[in-house]
Amino acid sequence: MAEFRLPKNSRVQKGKHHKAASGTNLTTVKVYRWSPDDGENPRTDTYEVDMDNCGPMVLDALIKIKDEMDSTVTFRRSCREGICGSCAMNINGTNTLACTTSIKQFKGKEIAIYPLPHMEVIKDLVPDLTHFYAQYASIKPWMQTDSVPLPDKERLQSIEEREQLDGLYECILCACCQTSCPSYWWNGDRYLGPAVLLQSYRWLADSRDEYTGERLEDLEDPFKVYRCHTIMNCANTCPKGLNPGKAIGEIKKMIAQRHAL
Amino acid sequence: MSYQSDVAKVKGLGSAKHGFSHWWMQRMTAVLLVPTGLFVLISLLRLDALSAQSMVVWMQNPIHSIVLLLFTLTASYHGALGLQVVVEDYVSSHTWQLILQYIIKLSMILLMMVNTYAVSSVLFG
Repeated sequence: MAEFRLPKNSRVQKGKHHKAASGTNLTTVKVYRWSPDDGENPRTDTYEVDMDNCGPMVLDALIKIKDEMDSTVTFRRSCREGICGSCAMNINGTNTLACTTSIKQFKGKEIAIYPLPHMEVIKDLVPDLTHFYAQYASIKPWMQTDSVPLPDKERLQSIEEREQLDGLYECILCACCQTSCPSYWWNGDRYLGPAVLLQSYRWLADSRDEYTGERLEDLEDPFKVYRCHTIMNCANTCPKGLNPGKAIGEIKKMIAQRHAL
Repeated sequence: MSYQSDVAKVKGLGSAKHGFSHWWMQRMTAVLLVPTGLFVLISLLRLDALSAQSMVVWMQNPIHSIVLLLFTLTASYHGALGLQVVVEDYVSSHTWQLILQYIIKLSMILLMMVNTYAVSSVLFG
């Protein structure tokens, strides 16, 4: 049956408090901490960050904490400009990218940072995305064709055909939407989830792909697609402003067309 | 311990290749419930008195009976489809899934039979 409480060893405890060495313009940042090595429960550590000496984004605050206050804090980051998707985490209750989330919007209030929800944690803010990536691989996210193109020609697309990919190709697979979806929390083992389904529709909408039928055949399943109950957390949380819920709706419409509707 | 690859785990037993008809019937029955439900509700509000006698008189009109039957049968079917999804979503035990799905389907059939009997017995006296 559904579980409504975390297991005993997963319940979050109050952690350490790290005071700022100097400064008056301080912002409190609470960070979820858990290490597989010490056998302890997860905890939230509190850090006072001197904002006069810190960059404008939440990622800047995390890097400052790691550099100057506590080198054991673990998180993923790479591009710091919202295109790699590495620093996806839950900031004040919303899944988003730490590098594009400004600290100012919280108006000096406490910032609480947790890993992406309902995923197994590898350490601190690093979730295990193995299953998510395997789900992505399962939809064959590449162009599949039977026809052989002329060796000196590209596969052409009209401007209108190319426009069908707008709102889809921008997805950076950060998993913010995927891990915000309650349906994915309950049935993530079988439900493909919003990010993977948006990517799936990206190939269904591509005029150059020749395996639309096979792709739809593979998707029509009570769990793979139809666990989407249009809760729409996905569209609400996407840091790139995309709408995975709409893409899933388009997949459902295409399946309906296959059934002559 | 399992050495099965992650992709093999995700692919599992493969696509069931159905799911559309369930989703489609959920929508179709939902749409039908709006006019039939409103018709029944407004008719009940317009009755002179909410008594068994006035209800029987109302139901003896064949159009009233047919709409009422359409409403109750659709509601039973729609409810069963919805409850099936709730069980699929929240019940992880396979045994409980089977038991609950069986109870839901059986209740739906019983409810439909009782509805049909009740309305037709009033209509045909």
